[in-house]
Amino acid sequence: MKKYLTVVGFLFFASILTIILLAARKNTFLRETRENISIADIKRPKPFPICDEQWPTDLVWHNGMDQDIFSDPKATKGGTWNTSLTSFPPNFRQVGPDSNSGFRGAMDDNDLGLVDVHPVTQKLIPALAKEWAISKDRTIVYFKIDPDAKWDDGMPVIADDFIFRLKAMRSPGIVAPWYNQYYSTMVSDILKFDKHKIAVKLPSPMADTVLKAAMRPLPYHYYGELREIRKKYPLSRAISYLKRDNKEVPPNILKIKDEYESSVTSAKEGEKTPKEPSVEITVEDVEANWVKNHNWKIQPRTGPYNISSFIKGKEVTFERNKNWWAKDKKYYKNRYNVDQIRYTVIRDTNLAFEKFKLGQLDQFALLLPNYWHSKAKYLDPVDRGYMQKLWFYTQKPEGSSQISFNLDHPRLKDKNLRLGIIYALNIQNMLDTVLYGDYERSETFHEGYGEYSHPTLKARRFNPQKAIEYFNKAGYTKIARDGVRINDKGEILSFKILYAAPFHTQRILALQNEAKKLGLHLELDNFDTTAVFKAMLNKEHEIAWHGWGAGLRPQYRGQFHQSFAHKKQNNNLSNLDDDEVSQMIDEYRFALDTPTRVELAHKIEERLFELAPAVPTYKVPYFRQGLWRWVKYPPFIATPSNDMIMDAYGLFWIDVELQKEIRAKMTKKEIIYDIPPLIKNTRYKGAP
Amino acid sequence: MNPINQQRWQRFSKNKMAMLSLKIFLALTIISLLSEVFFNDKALVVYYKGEMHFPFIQNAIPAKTFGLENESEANYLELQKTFRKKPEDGNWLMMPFIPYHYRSITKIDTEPIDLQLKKTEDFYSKQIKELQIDPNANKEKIYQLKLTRNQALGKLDSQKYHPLPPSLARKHFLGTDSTGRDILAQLSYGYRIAIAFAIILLIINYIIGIAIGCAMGYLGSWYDLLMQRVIEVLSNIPFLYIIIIIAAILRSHGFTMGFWALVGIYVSLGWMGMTWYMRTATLKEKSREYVLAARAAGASDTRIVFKHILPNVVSLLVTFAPFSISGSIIGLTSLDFLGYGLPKDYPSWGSLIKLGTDNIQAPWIITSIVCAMVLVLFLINAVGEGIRQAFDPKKISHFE
Repeated sequence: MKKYLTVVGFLFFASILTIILLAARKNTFLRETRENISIADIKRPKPFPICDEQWPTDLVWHNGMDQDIFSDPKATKGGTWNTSLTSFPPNFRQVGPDSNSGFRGAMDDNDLGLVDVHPVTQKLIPALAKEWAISKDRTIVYFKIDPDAKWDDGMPVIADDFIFRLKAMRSPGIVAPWYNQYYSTMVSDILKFDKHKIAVKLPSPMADTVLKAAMRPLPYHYYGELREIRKKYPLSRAISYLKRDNKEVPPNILKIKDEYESSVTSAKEGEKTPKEPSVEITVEDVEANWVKNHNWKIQPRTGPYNISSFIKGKEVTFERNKNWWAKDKKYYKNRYNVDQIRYTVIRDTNLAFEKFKLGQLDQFALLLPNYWHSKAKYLDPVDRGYMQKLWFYTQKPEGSSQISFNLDHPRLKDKNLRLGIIYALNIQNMLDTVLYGDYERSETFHEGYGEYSHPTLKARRFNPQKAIEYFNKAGYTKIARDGVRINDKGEILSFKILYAAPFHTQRILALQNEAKKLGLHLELDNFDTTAVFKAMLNKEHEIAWHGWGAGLRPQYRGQFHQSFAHKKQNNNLSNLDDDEVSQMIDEYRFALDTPTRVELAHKIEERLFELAPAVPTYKVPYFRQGLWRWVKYPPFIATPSNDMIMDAYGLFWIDVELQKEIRAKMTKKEIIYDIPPLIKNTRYKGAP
Repeated sequence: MNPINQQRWQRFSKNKMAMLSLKIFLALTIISLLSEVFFNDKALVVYYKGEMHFPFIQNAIPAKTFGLENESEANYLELQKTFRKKPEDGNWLMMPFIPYHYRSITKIDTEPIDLQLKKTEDFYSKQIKELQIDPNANKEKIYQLKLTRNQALGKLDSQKYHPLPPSLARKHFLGTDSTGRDILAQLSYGYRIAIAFAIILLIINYIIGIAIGCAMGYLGSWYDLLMQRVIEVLSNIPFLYIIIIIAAILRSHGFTMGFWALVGIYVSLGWMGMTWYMRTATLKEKSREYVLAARAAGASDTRIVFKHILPNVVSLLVTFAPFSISGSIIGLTSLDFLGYGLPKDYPSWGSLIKLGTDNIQAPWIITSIVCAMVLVLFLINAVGEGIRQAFDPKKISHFE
């Protein structure tokens, strides 16, 4: 019996010990690292043919070297930047199914394009291209690729990599219809002149020509040659693909096309139009099962960092390429200083904040007013001088937050009613109370776009007299039992306001409370984000509370063009169907010179103001964050395009010595004096 | 009341805990049913120029009626102030115990706070300047002074924004939430909705459950077998998930969730609970002599089930009721907490818990709602336990 007990006891303790050991070392045995392939082992695929055209000699070349540098020469290399992700990426691909996760940005930031944009002046600066030129008709952009440019596996970046990207993005094997469509319509071809000379052909002259043509390469030597497959497409798409690839349309397809067209024209009214037939054509495709094969593969990159190892579901580590080809180039010098970037998965924001307070994360966004004014009001590390709070006004395109009225709604068609509602929305009160007076009122739909933004237009402010006046005009003259206005037909002045984010409830409650006093009832309609967004795109809302992300230039077409009105699944949430606006948008889209475009943008904003299909709400023209003191930044703090101090521009660095020193002081609770705990920088505040 | 029920009531009323719980529970329920009288931003009585008005039950009275300029409904708190300024007019009004409705947002008068902020800042910066000029003063002293200044300013500044802590002077007895609504008023209105939801659900579930359960027990044969399988399948579906899924599907078809939709969804999956017990009870009673006698006398099946069998199994229904109510309250609250429940501007306990956990730096929110929830669930369960003991057949058959 005793013997038996000993054996059982031994086994028990041994298993516990093993579990502890495994748990402690899970970092090592669960970690997957990137394979290192020596350059000699890389097979070079068959190069793409050189085009027949001649390299023009009368071009005006630009190299963008006349801009100021925007990094700090005092920056030192080293250290690890610890940051967090809310969920682990579903894969490491940048295209294809489920690739559009938040993590994709971290990889995109490390893929250089042909040219870059200067964060302060917004002018073009060189990246992979050393020089560029535009043809006279503005449809071809010529690039000279920097001969120093290399992938991080040591292979040089050559013309074939750009051609491969175009072909791969057009191939069905990546399972990304948006990319297929974009690269088929927005870029017509890439011409290869020699290893380092290419020209990107655009389908028509466009504004911002160089940026539209500045593609990112895809490593041809890594993904290998393309193969030809037979694939079925709807007739019209098949023909457009054949034309895109400069192939002749085979006679059997032409015959099917004629038959289909005659059947469409002969179809009687009221009858169903015949279904478009599908035809099989030959297209180029990436390797079979590309999506599945490349879920967790790490592609070579041209940027400063690449994934070096990861633990699935837990963390991803990026490592700095010590021999990065651009490290001594004018605009890349003294940037990208930390050796490692470690993304840890922390699903809960509150938990991430706690970890930040313990020093496990180097920075934390304090943008939300309740964090800045309440949760991060007194931070021990700030009072002791280990941490700094920073409030930096930026000057980059603002995402547009707005309230859109559905003009297809029978009652909201009435402009008087819309104006009444707009005057009854006390947005300033909402900003002052719920948002601690932190956010700013948006005046137009596109702010922060420099000269493109309308300089003088002011959004309609809360005005009780005017609201009542317009409600009366719209026929809502009587007040019903519960204080809500009612018209002669017995319709109540009550609308559903649809919104996605649960934490916006308070903001809308504040609006609702003020509007109620004027006899307008706003019914809150909120649900799961995906369902809400779907409902908005299907135009099921009465009033939508939503926001759009920012682009490089104001975009009006998707949101206000009449070709999208009264149709489902598009961004014209107000169903605005106005000839004048649509005409101006078309002009704006194809106008080439900046002054015309700026003038048109202003005119469109004015017309939109007049029509009142939507009302801009607020903007946040700054970033706010907490920052441990070992994170150093240039004396000018950040550029007007920064998202944070520690972001993709890589201007910051980590002082490893100071980090050790502060950690030592933290254990002893020593106070560091004479360092400002709060920095508020308003250099870029207000219109430029 | 028949003697058996009399005996049961006696046994229940002897249970002090259950009796007290029942009294408190009824009191709370009555208060919450009369929420408009206790928690309202509309005045109970307004006496203006010799006329009496009762705004809390009347239609919206335009402010013009009381000599204000505004056309929309009067702000009675403001009105009270104007009345008090001129006592010689003889106008008066009476506000409810707590002058806030669940949806009324309290505005904070920031002017005096701003003034105080400026004063405090001046007070400290003067001291700091003096120290900076003084060559003997050390760095630490200045830094400490700066720290105390920042904290003093921060404390004042936090009074400018909601959530505000509980205060007797402001009549926010449990403080406000982050939007500026009174917590106590929300608790009361939220309780009313929760209890109404639970009771409506209980009634509908019982009607369906009794009908189907009795039919299963009484009819037997293929109907019993079929329903058993149907119920087994349905009751193995995870309840909360399926509600979330149904709600999402309804929403994507343009249907907004409201109180009755939620009741409908809950009923569609909640009626099964009672069927098993009713089936067993009916099966047992069916073979008794009195049923046979009723049948011999020519009574129809419906009459036998509802007139003869049901009164004999009523103890089962009564014992289960309180527990079913507390279950429904928890269900509604958790659904609201997850954001799939009632519309967001309804007062609801679930969304209060969510608010409380999101604003953990304002502990009065989460404390209030958790205490309220624990109290109510405890009361209901205590009453339920009392009923269960009172109806316990063992006690009746034994000699006490």
